[in-house]
Amino acid sequence: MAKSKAAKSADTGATAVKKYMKSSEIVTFGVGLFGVALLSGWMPDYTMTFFADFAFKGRGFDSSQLAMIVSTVFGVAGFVGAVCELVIGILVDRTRTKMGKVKPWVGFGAIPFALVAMLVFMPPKTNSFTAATVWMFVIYSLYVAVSCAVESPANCFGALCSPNPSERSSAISIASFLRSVGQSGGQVVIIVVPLIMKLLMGQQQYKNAEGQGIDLIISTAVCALGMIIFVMIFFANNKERVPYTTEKVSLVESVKLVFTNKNLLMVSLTKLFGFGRGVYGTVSLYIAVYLLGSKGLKLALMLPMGIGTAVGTLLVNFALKKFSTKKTFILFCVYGASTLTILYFVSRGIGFNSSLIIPFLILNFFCGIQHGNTNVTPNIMIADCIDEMEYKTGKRQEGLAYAGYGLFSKIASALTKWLAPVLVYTWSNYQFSTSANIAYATQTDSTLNRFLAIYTIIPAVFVVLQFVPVLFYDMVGDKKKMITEALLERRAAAAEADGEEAAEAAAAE
Amino acid sequence: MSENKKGFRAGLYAVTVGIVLAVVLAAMAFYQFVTTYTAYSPEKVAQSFVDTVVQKGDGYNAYKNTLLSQNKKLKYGDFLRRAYLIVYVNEKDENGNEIPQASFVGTGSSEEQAAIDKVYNTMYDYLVELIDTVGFDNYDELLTKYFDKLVEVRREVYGDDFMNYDYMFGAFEANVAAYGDYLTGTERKIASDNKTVLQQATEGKYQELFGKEQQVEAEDIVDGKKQTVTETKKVYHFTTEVVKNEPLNEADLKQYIEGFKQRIAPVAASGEAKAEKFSLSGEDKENMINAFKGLDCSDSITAVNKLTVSVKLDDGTEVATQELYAVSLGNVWYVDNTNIDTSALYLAK
Repeated sequence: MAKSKAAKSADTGATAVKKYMKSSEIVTFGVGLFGVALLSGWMPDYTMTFFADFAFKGRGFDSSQLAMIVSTVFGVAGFVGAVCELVIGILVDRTRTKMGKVKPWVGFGAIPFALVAMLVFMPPKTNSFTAATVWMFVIYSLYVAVSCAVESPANCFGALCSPNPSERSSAISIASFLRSVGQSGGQVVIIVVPLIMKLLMGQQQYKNAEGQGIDLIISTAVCALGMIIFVMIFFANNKERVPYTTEKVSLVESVKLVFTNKNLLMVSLTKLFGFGRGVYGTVSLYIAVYLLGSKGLKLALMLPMGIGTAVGTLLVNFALKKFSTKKTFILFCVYGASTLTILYFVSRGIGFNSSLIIPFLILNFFCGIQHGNTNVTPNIMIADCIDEMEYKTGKRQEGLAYAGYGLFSKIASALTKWLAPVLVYTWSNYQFSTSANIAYATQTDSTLNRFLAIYTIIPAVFVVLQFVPVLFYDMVGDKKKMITEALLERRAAAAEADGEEAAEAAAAE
Repeated sequence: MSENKKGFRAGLYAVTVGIVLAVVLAAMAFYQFVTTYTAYSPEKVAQSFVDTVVQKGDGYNAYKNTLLSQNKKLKYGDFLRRAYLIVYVNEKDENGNEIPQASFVGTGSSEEQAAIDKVYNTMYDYLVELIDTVGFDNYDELLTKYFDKLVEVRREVYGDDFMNYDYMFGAFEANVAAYGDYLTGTERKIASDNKTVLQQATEGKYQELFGKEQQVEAEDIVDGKKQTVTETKKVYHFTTEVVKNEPLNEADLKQYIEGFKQRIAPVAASGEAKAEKFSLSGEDKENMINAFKGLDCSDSITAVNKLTVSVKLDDGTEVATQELYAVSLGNVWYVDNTNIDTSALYLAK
C-alpha cells in the first residue's frame, strides 16, 4: 500500500479545500446551461403551435385529424425522450475521451441540436396528410433525441467540474439559476423579434408574416444561434476534473429499488398521479394570445407565476422547519388546488375579456407559490428514503434511487405532453385559422372557457391526485428521527473504526 | 483554452462552429422566410389575394394583401377603426358617463344569446345583399352601409344606443365567416364526449355548383358512438395559378403612377371632410385624416406588374380569371385595390 487510509483521508481533505475552477469557468458553465435551456425551453410549446396553427395552413387538412396527430406526435416524442434519456445516460457513462465524458456530447451535439431545431420549423410543402404526419413524427422525435443528447450531459457537468464539493455546489447553483433564466429566454426572443419585424416590415405586413408563422421561424434561428454561441463559450473554457460516476446505474435495478421501497415508490408515484399538472404550460400560450392579445406576452403571463414559485421555494423551507415533509407536501397541494380553483371562478365571473387581465396576473402569482413545493419537497423526501434504505440494507444508493424517480418523472412528462394537446386542440373544440394572413382564428366562448379550465381546474384535480400517494408515506416523525440517529451512530462507529485502523497502519509504517 | 495543444483545439473549434453555424442558420431562416412570405413576390401576393376571395368569398381579409394595408404605421384593422368605425362608437356620453346597455348584456343568458343571434342573422342577410349589389371592391360604400345598418338593428333588438369596436368587428367578422361557410359548406362537428353532434354537415353553394359526387370518409355518431363512416359528398377543389406576369415598362409605369395618383388623391383627401361631417375632434379627427392621407403611396411606387390569375377545378376546368396589378413599394408587393374588379371571383352570385 503506497499510502495509508489516513494519508488518503488527508489528501481528500486537501482536495475539499483547494479551489480548482477559475471564476470565469463558473460563469461559462452557467452560460452553457443558459444556452442549452434557451433552445430547449423554447421548442416544445412553440413547436406545438407551429405544427397545429401554421405548418400546413391552406393545405386543406382536416383540423380535427391534425389536432389528433399533433397530440400523438408529442405523446410519442415524450416517450422517445424518456428512452433517449436512459440510453444517453449509459452512453455518456461509457464515453472515454481526453476532454472527458460530458464535454464531447455537449460540444459536438450542439451542431445537430441547432440544425434539427431549425428543420422542425421548415415543413415540407405537401398536400398529402400522410406525408405531413410522417414528417411531424420523424422530425420532432429526432429533435427530442438530439436535444436529450446535449441537455442531459450538460446538466451532469456540475458533478464533474471540480473535486471540491463546496466549489461544485456553488457552481451548480449559479448554473441552475442561469439555466432557469434560459428556459424563459425564448419568451423574450418572441417579444423582441416581432418588434424588429414590425419596425422593418410595417404593422400589417408583420401581421401577415405572423399569420404564416415567420416570426416563429426567425425566433427559432435566434434561439439556435444563441445556444451555439453560449455552448461554444462553455466548451472552450470549461474542463472536467473528476470522474463522472463510479456507480453503475442499471434501469432494471433502479426500477426494482423503487418497487421494493414503499416510501420511495410513493414519492415516485406523486409524479405519475400528478402528470396533468403541467398542461397549463401548453395552454398558457393561447391564454396569452386570446386574453393578453399576443403570443409574445406569454412571458407577462408566466412572470408572476415564476415570482410566485421563487417565493414558494422560500415558504416551503420555512414550512419544513415547522412541519414534516408529508404535511408540507399535502399543505401546499391543498393550497395549490384552492388557488387554481379560485382563479377559475374569478375568471368565469369576470369573463374572458380585458378586465380579467389584472386579477388573472395577480392570482397567477399566488398559483405559482405551490410550485416551490414540487421543486423542493420531493427531493428532501428522496434523501430521507435513501437514509431509510441505508438503515435497512446498510447500502447507500443515491444513483439508483434518483434514476428510478427520474424514470417516473420522464413517463409523467411524456403523458403531460400527450394530454396537453388533446385538451387544447380536441377537447376545447379549438378552431384553426385557415387564412394565410390570420395567425389565430377567433374562438367561441365555450373554447375560451375550456382554455381557462385547462389552465386552472384540470391542473387543480391533478394537484389533489398528486398528494394521494403521499398519504401512505411514513418516513416522518419518530421513525425518521430514529433512523437519523441510528445512522449517525453507525457512521460515528465506522469513523472510529477507520481511525483506529489508520493509526495501526501508521504505527506499522 | 485547448484540451491538447498538439491535438484538438477546443477554442478554434468553438470559434469555427460559431461562425459556420451563424451563417447556416441565417441561410436556413432566410430561405424559409422568402419561400413562405408572400409579399416579396408579385405572383405570390396576387395568388394569395385571389385565393382569399375565391375560396371563401372573403373580400374583407383579402385587403390585407392590397395597397389599403401598405401604411407601415397602421394595421388594416386599425385603419378600419380610424377611418370608419370610430364614427359609430358610442360608449360614453359627453360627460364621460357610460352609455347604458340592455339589461341582459354580459349575463350569458339565453335572452342575450337570442339577441346576438337576431342581430347577426339580420346583418348576415344584409351583408349578402351588399356583396351582391355593392361588392367588397367598393369598401367605402360597403362598410358605411353595413355599419349604419348595424347601429339601427342593434337599437331595434337591444333597445339601447351602445356601440363599441368589439361589437362591430364581432358582427362583421362573424358574418364574413358565415358567408364563407355558405359557399364551402361545413363539416359535421362532434363534441369531445364523442356522443353529441354539435353541428350537422351542410352543403355549400360551391359544392352545389361545382361538386362531383364522391365516396368520402367522415366521422358520425352511429349507435351512440363516434365512428368513421363512408358517405356520398359533393367534392370540389379550386386551385389558383398565375398564368401571366408582365412588368410594365418605364413609360407605362410612369403613366400608371399618374393614374394611381388621380384615383387615390380624392380618397386620401377625404378624411378631413368626413371627420367634420361626423363632428370628430382632437385625436380622433387627426387619426381619421391621417388614415386616409396614408393611402397615397404614389411617390413610393418602384415597379408595377400586370398579372392574370386563373382559378381552376381539379379537372382543369377554368371557373374564373382575374386580372390585377401588383405594385411594388421598395421590395414589398401589394395588389392595387383602386382599379380592380373582383366580381368574377364571387362565383355564387
